[in-house]
Amino acid sequence: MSTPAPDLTKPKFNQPLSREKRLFLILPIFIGVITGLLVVCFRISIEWLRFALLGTELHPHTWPLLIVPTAVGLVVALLVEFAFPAARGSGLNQTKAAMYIHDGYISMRTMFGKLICTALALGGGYSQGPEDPSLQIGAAIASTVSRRFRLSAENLRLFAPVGAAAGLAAAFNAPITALLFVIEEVVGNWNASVLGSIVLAAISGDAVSRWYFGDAPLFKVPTLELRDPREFVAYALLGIIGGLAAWLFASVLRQLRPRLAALPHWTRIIQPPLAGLCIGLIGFLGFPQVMGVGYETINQAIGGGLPWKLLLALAALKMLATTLGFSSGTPGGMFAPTLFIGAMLGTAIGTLQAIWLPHLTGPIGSYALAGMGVLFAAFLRAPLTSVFMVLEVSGNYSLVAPVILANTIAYLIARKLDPVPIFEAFTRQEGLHLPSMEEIREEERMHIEDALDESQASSSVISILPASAPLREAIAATADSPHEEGVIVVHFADGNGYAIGGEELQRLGASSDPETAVGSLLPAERLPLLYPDMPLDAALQYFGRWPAMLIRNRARSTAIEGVITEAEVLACFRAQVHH
Amino acid sequence: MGLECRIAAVLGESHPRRRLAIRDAVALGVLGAIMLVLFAITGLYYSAYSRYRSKLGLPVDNTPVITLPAVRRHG
Repeated sequence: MSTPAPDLTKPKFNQPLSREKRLFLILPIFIGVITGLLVVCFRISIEWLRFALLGTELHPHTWPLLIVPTAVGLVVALLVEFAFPAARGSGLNQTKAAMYIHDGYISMRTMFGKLICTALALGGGYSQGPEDPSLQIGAAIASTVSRRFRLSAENLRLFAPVGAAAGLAAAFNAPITALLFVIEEVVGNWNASVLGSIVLAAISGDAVSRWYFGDAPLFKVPTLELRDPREFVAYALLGIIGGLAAWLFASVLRQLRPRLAALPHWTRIIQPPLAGLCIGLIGFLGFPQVMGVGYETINQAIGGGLPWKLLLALAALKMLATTLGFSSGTPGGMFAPTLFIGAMLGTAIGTLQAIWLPHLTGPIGSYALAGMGVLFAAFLRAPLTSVFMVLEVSGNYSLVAPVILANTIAYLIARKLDPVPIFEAFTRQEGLHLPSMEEIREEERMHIEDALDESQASSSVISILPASAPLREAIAATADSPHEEGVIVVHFADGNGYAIGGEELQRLGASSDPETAVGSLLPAERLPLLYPDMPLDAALQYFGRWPAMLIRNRARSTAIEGVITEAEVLACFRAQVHH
Repeated sequence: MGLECRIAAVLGESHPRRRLAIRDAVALGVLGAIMLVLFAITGLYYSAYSRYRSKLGLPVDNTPVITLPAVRRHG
């Protein structure tokens, strides 16, 4: 009798595991390059629109400063309301939401909407930045490409940060900063399996950006130095002021945004143009520097020469302008304004110090750069990224110590004053509960050694008998066991173990001599290999089969670190929750 | 981006894994083609923008002032 031929048209097989791993090495390069090209177009569009709409230089008291942002605001509001509703916001939270809620899905429509609306807004003078939208553009490309390859849902989620890193690297001309930021703020986990893919995408995106725009750092930085160790006091002061400024900026945003969002729906059409009018008014009245992305003003500040009163005014007005633009729902990022405010504050402090203590003051540019890092650490709550950002965008490593000092102080102050980071507050305002990256970063993971401590601290320790021990001794030990099932652990000479309850032992040894070695009665199955450094939750899965676990020593395979039971593991988790 | 391809179905008839591999190869090829087209579009856009800058009297070595403050054309 012949067997029917297998139906190959509808295969019932699992795709090879190595396929998705291979794709994780190949696709990031494509994603990085495509994202880099789109971000290049995006950056050119912003500039082109700016020159076309506002001219090459912004002069106060000229009418275009009032008319253009208002008109652009209306166009952007209509586009966001009727064509690209998902383009609202900075892009960072949307990317996180895509990763954690929508299986990494970001539509191409959202991407084009973000690109067009943000380019229009920034070109029209809105006081936001292109970095976070670039991050979302990259995530959208990654989402589209990975979906076409029909990856598993888990891997689809993991591709969103890969594209995000490429977008940020291309926008910022700083791949290390992009990589760190995405790990610190989007993924929140350094053990992420996508780390290699994120590196590949970030480098590819940055390479494309540099191919078009050259490889100079983002800011024109003169020679930097720490002239005198006493300058650390000024940097510490910068950290304090920066921390307070970040808290103020975040507080105002946190208050205004939900209030504007609570207004009747039709006001969403007039909020952006009104915000644009206010921003234009700031420029019209004498501070056009706050309009647009603001990198040119940062470069001026780094070069020195701007009076400290103007610098402080620009920092305050930038906060106001960005708050208005962002809260009105105009698409645009928060990176550039954060850097702008930090640079102005830093330069102001450096300038004041140069006036009062000229012999102690190093180059003003050092303070501007440190100020950028300070706001980045305190406002965006990315302390590690903030240090590398300063080093990478300046291409100068001579400021590491003061930057770390100032950033740490600012970060701690901002965190103390407001434990909830601003982007997390935004997600909560939108009714989403995304994981807190700060909490993930600082989460204390329990290890098996914690349960071992718990076990050794208690008076009721489960007995460990050698496999050569006689059956009668084992039965006596089960009777004395503190475990309700009379569990003991039998330890074999090769280091393996077998956990057995009193009832099972009685059954196995029913027809055996009491002097028989207990190890010879046990089945061939052995306890899983567990070591003290392993995560505690890894042990939980085995308690369905075994009543107790033998914990081994990594250096000496036959040595025993102890025995843990399910009750001890759960007690450990309970103690952590109560702590 | 239509990555479903009849060629993949024909060539991959013998074994589903082979069909999957061919489908991936076709998809990567399409992705590469899109990338090249995008390179061309970006290049055209970039050169058009450079011409616009020169018309405005701005430096054409691409030393922009808004989002690209310190960038210079390589070389």
